[in-house]
Amino acid sequence: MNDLAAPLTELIDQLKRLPGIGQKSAQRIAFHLLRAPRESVQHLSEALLALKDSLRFCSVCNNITDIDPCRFCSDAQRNPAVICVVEEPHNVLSIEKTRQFDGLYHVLHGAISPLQGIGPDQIRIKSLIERLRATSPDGQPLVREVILATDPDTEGEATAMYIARLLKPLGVKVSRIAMGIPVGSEIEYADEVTMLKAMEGRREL
Amino acid sequence: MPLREADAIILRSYPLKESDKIVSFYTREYGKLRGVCRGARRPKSGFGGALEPLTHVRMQFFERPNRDLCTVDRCDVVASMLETASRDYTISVGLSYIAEIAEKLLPEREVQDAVFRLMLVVMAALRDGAPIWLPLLYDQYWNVRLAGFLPDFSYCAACGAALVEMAGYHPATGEGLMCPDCQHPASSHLGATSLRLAQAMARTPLPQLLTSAENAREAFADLRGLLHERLEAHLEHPLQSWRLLLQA
Ligand SMILES: [Zn+2]
Ligand SMILES: [Zn+2]
Repeated sequence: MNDLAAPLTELIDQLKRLPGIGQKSAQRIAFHLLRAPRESVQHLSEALLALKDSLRFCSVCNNITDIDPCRFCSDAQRNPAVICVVEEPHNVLSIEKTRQFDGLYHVLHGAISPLQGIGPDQIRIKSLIERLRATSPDGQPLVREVILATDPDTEGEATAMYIARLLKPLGVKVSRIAMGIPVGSEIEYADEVTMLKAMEGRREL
Repeated sequence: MPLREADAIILRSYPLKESDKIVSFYTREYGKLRGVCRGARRPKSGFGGALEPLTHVRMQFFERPNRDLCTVDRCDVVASMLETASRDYTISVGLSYIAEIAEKLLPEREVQDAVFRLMLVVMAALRDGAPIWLPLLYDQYWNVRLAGFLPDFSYCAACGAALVEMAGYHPATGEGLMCPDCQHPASSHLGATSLRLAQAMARTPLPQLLTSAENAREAFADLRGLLHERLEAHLEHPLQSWRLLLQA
């Protein structure tokens, strides 16, 4: 490795920390950037910093956003009566890909994991309950259905069970996505058709 | 690189890199091992739900010389706990506790057929619809006993009198249970119901004990606490799922 100039070695080391990038890919990217015009490298580095500096969590749904409330929460075309609960921000993308869901989201930023000591208080469940307490001017609850789209594994299931138990007394309809997604896998990897089937086949808890 | 086949119970799995999992599992034939399952987080991996905690599986894996981790080639479900865990939140936390005890207590690569059979019995009872609390207690009791640090539930550790109505114990000292006359002033207590159950667990199979399972959460909270303290004292580490179990 010492055959390379120090800045190249440093860049390759940094790139290798990214998911899915091994030594070969890191080298290829590094040499590509070396040959690229200065402006395009500058655009890339600015985009990387902007990602860290301008993004935050939506104050309503906890999704990652550059405007607050986020695009989903401030979109009048979307149906505020249905909230889909997911573990991570990237799960929103998987559900959006189905183009069938027009409700709002709630991002938990994790799942209940007794083995890791992660309990209900460590993920964003409280703010979900607060959202469900909101009523229209005539006193009707704004949210009518909560779809639990946590991962179809032990932790996702435990999280869904816990939330369902909390929501029951609130009188809101609670449903769980169907196990069309193979158990033990992650929603992130589900294709559109599988995800669509999982949403359509949801059962009431 | 010998291919091995084993009867195994999955204890825990962790994500590894983009789409793999590391899994800790307890085999009947080789004891506790850890292995890599390539692609296991992808929907079409073929592992499916087989790597979820407490799944009883038939497993094929390769061991490589001087490597801690084996490579899991194939994993077929014999019996899954996923449906049981989905019954309610409390059961799912209880199952995590049972898995965590095995994961932390069992030494690597040490065969203990009794522990393996214990886990199968406990899981079968839960799959048959038993509430979590009594099977969980049975699992604690036998794990503590098989690991060799179970106190005597029948006779006072100081004077040898039979323990009947109540027994005192002091978690910090690690001494055994004592009758009301011998116990230390700041002792925790075990009531008559729990004493009777602990004595019965030594000789009664779990299915028969289940008839006394009613109200087991409250009735045997003292015994559950004592066994938990024994486990943690022995492990010298907290069991993470205990706190959630108390709140579940
Ligand atoms: Zn939002
Ligand atoms: Zn005594």
